[in-house]
Amino acid sequence: MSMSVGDPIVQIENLQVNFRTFDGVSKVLVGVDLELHRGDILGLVGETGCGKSVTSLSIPRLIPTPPGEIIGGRVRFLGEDVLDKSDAELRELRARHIGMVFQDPITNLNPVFTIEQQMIDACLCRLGYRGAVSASPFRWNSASREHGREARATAISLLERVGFPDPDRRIRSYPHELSGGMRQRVLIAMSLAGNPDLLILDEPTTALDVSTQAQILRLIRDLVDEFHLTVLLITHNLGVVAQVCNRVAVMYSGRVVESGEVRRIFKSPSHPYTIGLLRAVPTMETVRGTLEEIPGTIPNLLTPPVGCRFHPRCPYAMDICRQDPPPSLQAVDGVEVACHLYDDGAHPDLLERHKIGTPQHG
Amino acid sequence: MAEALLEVRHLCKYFPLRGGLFNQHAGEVKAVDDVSLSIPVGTSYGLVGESGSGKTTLGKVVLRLSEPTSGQILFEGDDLGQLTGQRLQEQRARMQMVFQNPYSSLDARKTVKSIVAEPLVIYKRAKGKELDDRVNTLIETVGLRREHLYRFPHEFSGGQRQRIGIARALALEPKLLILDEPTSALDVSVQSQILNLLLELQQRLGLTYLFISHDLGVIRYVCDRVGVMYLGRIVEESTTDALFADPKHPYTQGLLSAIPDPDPERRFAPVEIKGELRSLPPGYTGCRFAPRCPFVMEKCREMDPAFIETAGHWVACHLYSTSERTRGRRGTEANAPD
Repeated sequence: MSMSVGDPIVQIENLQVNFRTFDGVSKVLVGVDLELHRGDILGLVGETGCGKSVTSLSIPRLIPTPPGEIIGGRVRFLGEDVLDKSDAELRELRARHIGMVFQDPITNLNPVFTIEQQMIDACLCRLGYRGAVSASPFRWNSASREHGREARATAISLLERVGFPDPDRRIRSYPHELSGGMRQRVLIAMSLAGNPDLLILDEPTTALDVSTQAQILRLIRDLVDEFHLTVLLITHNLGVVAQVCNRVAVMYSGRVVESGEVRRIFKSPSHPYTIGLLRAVPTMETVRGTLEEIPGTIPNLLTPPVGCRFHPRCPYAMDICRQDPPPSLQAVDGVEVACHLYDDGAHPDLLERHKIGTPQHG
Repeated sequence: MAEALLEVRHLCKYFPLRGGLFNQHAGEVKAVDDVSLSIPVGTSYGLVGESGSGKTTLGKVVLRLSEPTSGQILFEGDDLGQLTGQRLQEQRARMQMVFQNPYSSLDARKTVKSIVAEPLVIYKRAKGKELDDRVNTLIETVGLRREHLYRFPHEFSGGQRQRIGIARALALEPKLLILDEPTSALDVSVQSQILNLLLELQQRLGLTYLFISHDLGVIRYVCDRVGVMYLGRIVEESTTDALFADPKHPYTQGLLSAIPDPDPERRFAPVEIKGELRSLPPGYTGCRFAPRCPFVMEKCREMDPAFIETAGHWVACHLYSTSERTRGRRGTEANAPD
């Protein structure tokens, strides 16, 4: 594919997605801007329903249509517009360039096939075969048997790489015979089968225990170096972002409200929502009774608040926030933020205002 | 120390495994195996552990939603295991549970009002106008409004649903609340709201909590004492401050270091707990953590360690039963198994 060095691998510009529901049109994404460069591990954080998953699904164009509908914006992958691609091109893209791992490993593995069959299918896809080859009658054809053997060897070496114990024998297990951590390892191995450029991990450790989570996170970090991957990691665990990612994008109700380097944003967050999120996590230092809350709940997407969608929960809300949505991401102090507080390019001292408690203007 | 509201002594819960010809008894799963703990009035006891460690089973057995295999559960001095009929009912009303998943623990076909009122109706505590008043007070106690009473659970967000679950649990004015992962299905911003609500309720109503969670940050924020469970047994118990400042058991050390720190400046280098929680083979007599322990010794595989006190901690580990008590401490060369 045509692209020069330094161009972003993924470039999402002003992406807008609506979902039609029985109750009306739900504006799920209202102008998402996101860029991933080669070698990035970008953490996408935000509350349930803020559009993290829809954003990630737009890259391989997997948004279910209908009810979903991309009504505006562009999604470029390796310099090419994904929205213009034909079904055949998309299949190629999904098979060889993008790997995905989803949150709940048990629902993403087929319960009636063994790990072997599912892994071989994934590896055969890379060789250009379509669909469930291992289950098809053509497997008796000698050429496809040859490919099958090759695919099986790849599958075993991938499983071995992700720390699946005794892959030669245990590859014959069914998904229900494996623990959560092992299933997640299988899915990671499967996503690597196509030797992808981009790996999308949608809450890969949310369903796991902390000790297993630590193992999986370590694996992900090792794989990134080894396979030269670029990773989009969706999570709501800020600890995971802090420890694994180099960049972070914070989403709120269909927009990216802040993005930039992890160290920078965790040290001095700019958007009021990011500030709230970081303070709402109980850590080893939090004194009892001092944990801060973000008041209220996420907005209803059928009737979102006018102006900035965060204003009903924002301690710094001004009049303009209730009228106009903030402009798209603007650079402030090395991070990008979408908030009226930064309209004049200044960096107001939010801590000071928070103490006073009264929203100020300007 | 104040009088214990709940005291559990040598509690066991075994689930029989059946299999083979004629579905015969083929061993058992020791979900809770000789657990003792005591919770003073007005305090919170946190129970942490991985999934499958027996936390939830313990909570259920304490409520006698599941019959204990052996052991005693003393609630205000009464042995719950011996109580039957009327008396059991009365005591049960004084201990209530809040469940993990607010999406499945509320009846989708009932309005919030009938969900919250149900315990009061079952126990015939109130009716008519008085019932309405009680329900109104309850719903306001948990931070919702009266107009919410006539809606159905699906109309609420996760955090609001958990508030409804808490209101229901508070309906009978219980003394003990068993909170089974009350925030693990919620977003962080909402989690902090619920945690602060629970702390406030505890102070206002003098509640005692048994708080079950796998999130150590949450446990540390809410609880006074913490017990770490592994495969049905408490392997370490201490006050929250002591446990987090100086964990003794290798499993606790591993768990603590496995939490990804939300400060990117701090390096994430967990004391690695290898493998995963798995049942022990029948006839195994050693320490149950030995197969995964980075500091495992010869005797760990042979003998189950006793639960002993060492500097204010209760810990079940051979590292502390002999002179080798400083080995395996966090902060020392923890990753180098010697």
